[in-house]
Amino acid sequence: MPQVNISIEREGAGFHETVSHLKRAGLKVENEMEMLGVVSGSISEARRAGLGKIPGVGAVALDASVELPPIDSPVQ
Amino acid sequence: MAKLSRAKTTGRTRVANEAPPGAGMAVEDVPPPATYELQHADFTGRYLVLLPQQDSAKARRTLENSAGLSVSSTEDFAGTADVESLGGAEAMVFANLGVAVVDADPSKTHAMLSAASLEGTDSMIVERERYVYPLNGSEYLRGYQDAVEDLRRRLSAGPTGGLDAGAGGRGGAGFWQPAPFAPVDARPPTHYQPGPARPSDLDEFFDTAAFTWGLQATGVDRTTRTGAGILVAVLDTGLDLTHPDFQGRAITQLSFVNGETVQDVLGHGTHCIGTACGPRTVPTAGTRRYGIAWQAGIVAGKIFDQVTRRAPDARILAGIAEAVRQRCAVVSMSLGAPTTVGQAFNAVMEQAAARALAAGTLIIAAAGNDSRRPDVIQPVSHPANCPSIMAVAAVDSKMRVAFFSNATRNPEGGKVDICGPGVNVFSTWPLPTQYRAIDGTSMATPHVAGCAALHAEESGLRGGALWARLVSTAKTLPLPASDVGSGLVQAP
Repeated sequence: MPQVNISIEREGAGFHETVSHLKRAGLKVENEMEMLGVVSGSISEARRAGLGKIPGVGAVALDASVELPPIDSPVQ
Repeated sequence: MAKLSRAKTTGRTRVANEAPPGAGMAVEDVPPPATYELQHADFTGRYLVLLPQQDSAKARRTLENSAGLSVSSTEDFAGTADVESLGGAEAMVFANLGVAVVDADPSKTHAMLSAASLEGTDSMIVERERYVYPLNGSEYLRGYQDAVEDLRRRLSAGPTGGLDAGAGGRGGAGFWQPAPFAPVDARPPTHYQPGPARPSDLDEFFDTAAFTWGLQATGVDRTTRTGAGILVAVLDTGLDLTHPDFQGRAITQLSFVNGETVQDVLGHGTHCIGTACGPRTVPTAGTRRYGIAWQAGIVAGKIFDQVTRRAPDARILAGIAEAVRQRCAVVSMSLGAPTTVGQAFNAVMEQAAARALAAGTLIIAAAGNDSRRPDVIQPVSHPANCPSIMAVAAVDSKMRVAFFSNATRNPEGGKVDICGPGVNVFSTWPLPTQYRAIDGTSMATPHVAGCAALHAEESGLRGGALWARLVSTAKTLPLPASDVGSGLVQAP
């Protein structure tokens, strides 16, 4: 399943309410970071597009990764 | 300290930097070196007096009683002071700034200088006012605020880092130094704009027996700050906990990689932590100091796993969240993924960074190494391209942009904010190698992070205010802002 990171614009109780909606929408939450207003999780590709419509959701970003250069590269 | 190409700074009669604070009045009467002479009127004929910080009322009495000046104060006018006419008086005290502007005939000016010199206990610094300012009061005040802060900073730097423009202080440390490389403009300047660096800033630095070139270029070799009381999180490949240079340090270990401890086997994180937080005294004979915030608390966050050598955004976010939770003032992220021109920043990462900043955690990240100058100049990498993350470019020891260093090419997000030493950077590497000199915006980033810790310690500033302090104290370089942002990071 695709990994996603989601920003939630609402704070406090609103944050948790939005997280609940996300879970009901199929998000398997792996990390709730309330101080940042962000949750990380995974969701099926078919249901991913629906996350952005949930009230309080700011953005849904597919998880990408950064990669280190080769260990022997002079430029790091 | 090894520096070449020092421009001559002759022709300066200077007292201020030779008289320590507390030794009475000091006068800086410094005509600019011939190289920088302006073709328009350089001085206004007025004087700028830096008052004893704790007692501007006493200084006002000195100006009134001993020098016989008529004195107004901004406090007299409830924000409506006509600063251009000094409120109709011969001197105006800007109480909030700790500064007075004096416009009196020569005899009274002389009396003022003499009287100030008799004060004895507090330093009163007098400089000739250089530029004519617009009548707009706020612009005027802002200009003086900058001037006063700069003057105080230089005085507090002591005799070697003080008012001598050649001592490696903020670029063009001469007061109200005009921009030397810009064509001389016949029009008087209407407000202060920092210009490119003077030729004297085009030093070439070398590693010495005592310091790496990067520590010299950033003024770490002269600072008294240590990073004490500040937590610096470095999100990277971890740290070689067995390295002799980190023994006895307060280290918080955070691994965000399942099945791996924070112990570093790839080396990158150990190198970066070395630069940001390495020791004052390097235990290994025959080497040199390379680390900046030597008393800072180290939060070693492992987000790159040693198998794939990758770090997903989710781990970066988790690392940021934990750094915020632990109240780290600084997060150093020597990582990035290439972006393309026109590519938007990651909105999730931006919100996380903005929230972190608001919570007092400044995130500093590498601008990226995708350029191949002069032919190819690539935009700032993800996540440094987020507006709330400080993006760090790399320069070499001759103050040239590193060939690989990315640039501002996406103005809507992806601005280079500052630069740091990023070529031939000597720092720690996991045993048995122990030390290694490498290049990269990854190496420039912990220079900024370490200096940020020093500024956080000195000023108590956090978050956006700490960001502002870093960019405002950076040393201006004669390079495009799109390449180096505000310039070369400087220790306080």
